[in-house]
Amino acid sequence: MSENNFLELKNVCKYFGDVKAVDNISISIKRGELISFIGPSGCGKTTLLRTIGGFNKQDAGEIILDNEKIDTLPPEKRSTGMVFQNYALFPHMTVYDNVAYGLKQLKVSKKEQHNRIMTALSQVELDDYGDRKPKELSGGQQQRVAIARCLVLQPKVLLLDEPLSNLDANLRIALRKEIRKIKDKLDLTVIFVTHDQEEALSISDRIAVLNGGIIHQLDKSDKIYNYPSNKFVSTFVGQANFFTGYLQESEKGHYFDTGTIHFPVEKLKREHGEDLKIGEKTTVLVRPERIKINASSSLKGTITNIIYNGNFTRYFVDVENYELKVDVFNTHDSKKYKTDDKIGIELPTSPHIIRESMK
Amino acid sequence: MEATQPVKNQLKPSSTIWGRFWAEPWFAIATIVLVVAIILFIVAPVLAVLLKSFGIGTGQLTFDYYKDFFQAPYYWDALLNSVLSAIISTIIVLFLSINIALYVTRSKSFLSKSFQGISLLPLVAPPFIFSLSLIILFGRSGIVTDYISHLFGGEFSIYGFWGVVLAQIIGYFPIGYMLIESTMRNMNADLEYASQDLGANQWKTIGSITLPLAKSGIIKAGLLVFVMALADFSNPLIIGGGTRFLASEAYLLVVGQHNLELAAVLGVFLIIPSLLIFIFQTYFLKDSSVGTISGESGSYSVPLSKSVKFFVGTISTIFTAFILLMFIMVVLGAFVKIIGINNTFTLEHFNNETGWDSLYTSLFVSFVSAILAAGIGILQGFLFARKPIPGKKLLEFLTLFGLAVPGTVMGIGYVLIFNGPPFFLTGTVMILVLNMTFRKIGVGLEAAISKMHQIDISMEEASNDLGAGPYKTFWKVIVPLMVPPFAAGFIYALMTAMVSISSVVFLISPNTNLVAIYILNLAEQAKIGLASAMSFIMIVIVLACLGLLKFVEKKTGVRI
Repeated sequence: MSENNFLELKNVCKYFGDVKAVDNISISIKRGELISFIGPSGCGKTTLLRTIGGFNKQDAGEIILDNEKIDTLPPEKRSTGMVFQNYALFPHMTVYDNVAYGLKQLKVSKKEQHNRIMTALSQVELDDYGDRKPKELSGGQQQRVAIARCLVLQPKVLLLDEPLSNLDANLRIALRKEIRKIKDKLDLTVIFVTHDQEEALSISDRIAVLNGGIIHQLDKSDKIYNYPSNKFVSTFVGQANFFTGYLQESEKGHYFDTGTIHFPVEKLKREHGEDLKIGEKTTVLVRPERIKINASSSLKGTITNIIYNGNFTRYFVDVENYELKVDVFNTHDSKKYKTDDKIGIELPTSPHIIRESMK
Repeated sequence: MEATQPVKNQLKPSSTIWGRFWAEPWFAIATIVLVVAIILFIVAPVLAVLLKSFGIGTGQLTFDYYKDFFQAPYYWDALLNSVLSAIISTIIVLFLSINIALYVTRSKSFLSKSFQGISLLPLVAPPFIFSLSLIILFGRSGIVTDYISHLFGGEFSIYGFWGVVLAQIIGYFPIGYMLIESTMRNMNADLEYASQDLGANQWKTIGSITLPLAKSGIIKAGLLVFVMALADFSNPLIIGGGTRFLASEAYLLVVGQHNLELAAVLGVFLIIPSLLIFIFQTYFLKDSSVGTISGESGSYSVPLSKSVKFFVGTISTIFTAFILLMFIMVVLGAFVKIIGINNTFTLEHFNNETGWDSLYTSLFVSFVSAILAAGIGILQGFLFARKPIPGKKLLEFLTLFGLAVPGTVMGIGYVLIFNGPPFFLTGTVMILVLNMTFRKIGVGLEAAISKMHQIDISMEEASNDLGAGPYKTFWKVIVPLMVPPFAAGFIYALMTAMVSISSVVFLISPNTNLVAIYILNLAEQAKIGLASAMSFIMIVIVLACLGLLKFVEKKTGVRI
């Protein structure tokens, strides 16, 4: 029971003046799970994380960690470990002393302190860096010290506040693998706040997409990407083409009709599994990479703009005044198009139905 | 290709620094005038004091005056008292500043704003005004003294060493407080949050994170307060009760015995610590922005826990209440016949022609000096930030050193240089203006340097690129951008010039008395009512300046 509700937030609210930074959020996190909070800046993700850590006092709601109600405890009494966005390493202490800091607050023998510090440092592969000052380390190393400083206290939950945002792109990718590795090795429960959707998709067991202080969707990565619950989630995570129209039926089968464009579809399913009825109005989502360029398609468009992205090329295609984004993987034999080329567009037959908004 | 070649004489690269220096002759001339002025009005007076202490200028090189100093227990006492009182007031100021800064920066209540306001209040008064209040309260027939002797009998008064210490604590508190407050405000709050997250309570967090990180700010504050307290001149005169202190003894030596040589020796003992500390600050206490905010932090300062809040809150309340009491005493003293004895309301203390005259002189002198100090400082800031100037570092050091030289030393130096040929200037308004201008020129320079750092050099390059020459760029680009620091430097210089005393006291004549000195004389003669009234007017004027400063800050968005 408590394995599934290891960390439980119940109706947590946090206001700053009139702004509802966190608006009645409830969420259950499993033991050993890595969950990401993502959303644009100001969406409430960091506020929510800091509320769990005890740095904000929630205005309403409860936080329960491992069967203990922690929401009224000060941060030093909570068994949460926070890695701050700027790492917050104590600049006047060595790496060793930084990691020792938390242990010194406990009644732990010097010998055990030392063992635990060395273990924590080796877990983040910084065994030989104990004597350095934080400013003598690279960004990535500082980041790992911040993690070691938390790990040494064996927190029940590790809270990471945009821990990779100050690093360059390649290091970011390397470190997120590392964080995942450490998490798996020590079976940690981790909450990971980020605004980088790719980071969240790659690292998380589950993702919570936040905006305006509420969770728009809480799901596994592939569900978030392929089956976003509403328009906000679909545009925040990945690129999207939307078509609003009606499901229609002809002798050839079902097709989707926006008034200007129509394309064949299979049966479309609503969120809760029931079929979309003929003539019913809805909005569907099509990811750019799901669209194919196919000369034999009856749907024709004109290329208005081309962006080369290395592994794929994005074409902006005007189809009956719709500007569609079409991504084509760059293989050695993929055909190159130019602006103003007329091409045929083939839309997938199973687009995903989404809601316009949360409500 | 040929057409795009730059005009030859404009971009002729010069290999030597002198060549580049003369490339823009008007700036070069301005620089030279500036350098001459700095040497004449800042460097020369200090050197003159140094030389005079060895008898040079009067006759042979001699160590007699140093012998005199070391043989008379009299001056040893003065040195000891000055150093001891400076150390004690510094330590107490630091303790109070840390407490109040903690409360102010980590709480957002009305109380915290009041603490902040009251803490800065002593800035608007001449530094000796607290001696006046202390005498009203604790003097020989002070309000509290009388009350206590009624209750317990016995004699008690504030005059003496501890009175000076107390007056110094209040007078120099704002300086220490401002530095410590800004250090604590700019600290990265996440570091304290991290400490709490790792299990340390707030007392431990303050001890092992907050204070160590504020160390450089605290040291800076301590040094500054120490130097100012060491050079304190007016409090010993009013409330010292005969206890000897360096600056006041030097003054008495000059004015009473006309013993300039021995006064110079005392001056040397005043300037050595100031010089050492100034060098230490400039070269060893480089702003180590350890633990300050870098980039987005997004976290608010850590709120105080109950026990910490209670402790620092209590201290803040007691001390700020005491500051307020000091001001209330002066205001009451101004508006009643004889405070504590005859408390009937009166305006008679304001009916004081000599006082008003000295006020006009002060306003005039301060106004002119402030404009000059800010203007010259700004020009210097620009030249030093952008132009190749040989010996730039040294010149900058000397200018800022002008701020650090104890006023007494500067005053004696001016007497030595300008009391004879070729410059007969003592007793004139001009000498007062010159003295104040060059003592405050560092204010304008600092304001200008910090502003110049914010102005991207590419802006001037753009102006050059668009066809404006160096002078046009200066007038059209730099000058408009320098208006806010000029305003800030001007108002700050005006405020401090109004209340400054220790240097100009050597240079006034009966016709050119300044209000701060006039009040000092009144206080020495225990004319409490008149002294309070003039002090009250001064406080109002300086407060008005401060209001103006805040207004300028708001309007321009430049933090001053």
